[in-house]
Amino acid sequence: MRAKERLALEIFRAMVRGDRFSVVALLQGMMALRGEQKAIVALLEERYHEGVALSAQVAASPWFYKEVGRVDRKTYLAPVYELARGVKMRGEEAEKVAKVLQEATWPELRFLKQLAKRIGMEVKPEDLVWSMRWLSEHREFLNRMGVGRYAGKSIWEVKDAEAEAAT
Amino acid sequence: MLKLRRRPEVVRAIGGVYLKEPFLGKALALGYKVLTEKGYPRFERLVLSGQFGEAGAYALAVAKSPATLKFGNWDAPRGGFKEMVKVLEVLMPHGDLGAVEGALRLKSEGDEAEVLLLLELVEAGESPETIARVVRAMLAHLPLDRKLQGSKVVPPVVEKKRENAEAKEVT
Repeated sequence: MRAKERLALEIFRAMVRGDRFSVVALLQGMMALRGEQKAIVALLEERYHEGVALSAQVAASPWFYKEVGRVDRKTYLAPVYELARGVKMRGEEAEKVAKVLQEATWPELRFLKQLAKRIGMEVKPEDLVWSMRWLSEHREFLNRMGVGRYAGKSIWEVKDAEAEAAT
Repeated sequence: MLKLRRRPEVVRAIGGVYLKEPFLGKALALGYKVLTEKGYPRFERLVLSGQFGEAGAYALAVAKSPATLKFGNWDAPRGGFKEMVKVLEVLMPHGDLGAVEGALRLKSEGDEAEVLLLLELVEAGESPETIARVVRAMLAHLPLDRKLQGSKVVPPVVEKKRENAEAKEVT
């Protein structure tokens, strides 16, 4: 299992347990690069709370580059919604799941994408829909906790600057 | 709260027109929402007999005339139309993301005529593909319609009549 998939699973488990602050911290970890994510996942195995704290701090520290995708939400999430297609949704739930498409920030998008990869193993399609609903219901909370905001530079900014310098 | 008329054949016909001719479709949808018991039977007869042009022109004439009574066609309330949940419920399992996004936009930006038509289509048991296509057609037509204020209903002039009556009394 890759580090990002493992991290997505941990976020999902924290959601199920109801530890919403852990969810925020781990979501911030979704923006870290692969090396940092490996360190976070390794720490989560040994000492869980250390790993959660590291995940939050990586995003807050300007010394690490972040990976912030510049993607079109619709094309990025299309396979995720494809997997959720068979699940029956009633009333409000359908609207909440649809709203993820409009409002989700980058770490949440990436979390959903990685969680979708584990369908058939640890996760069922119902769980995917449930986590989308969770994100929609906690939208204000997530925004106020600053999910998706980071200090320092994203890796794409650096690459752009390098490409410009080369030309 | 939107009141449904529950006329599945009429609604299907209007939905079919909306896909090809958005201006006419919008006019028909407006007529479906706006006409009262007095004018509606005529409108329905025209639509069912296939005279869509005549029906649309009649609907627009009534909607824009200051001389007739009709229902209003209001914009979305704050927080959008709650009824759109039913439409989303149908579209979501279908998996057409563009249509889902469009339905969310119509929830907050659409007016009563459009939402009523979609709700009636759901009520009539139309397939999700058709509803998705109608949503896309509506969304494509939305900016032009708002710019031209095509769905604005002219309220009947009650004040002037009163003034006339008073003037007559005086003389």
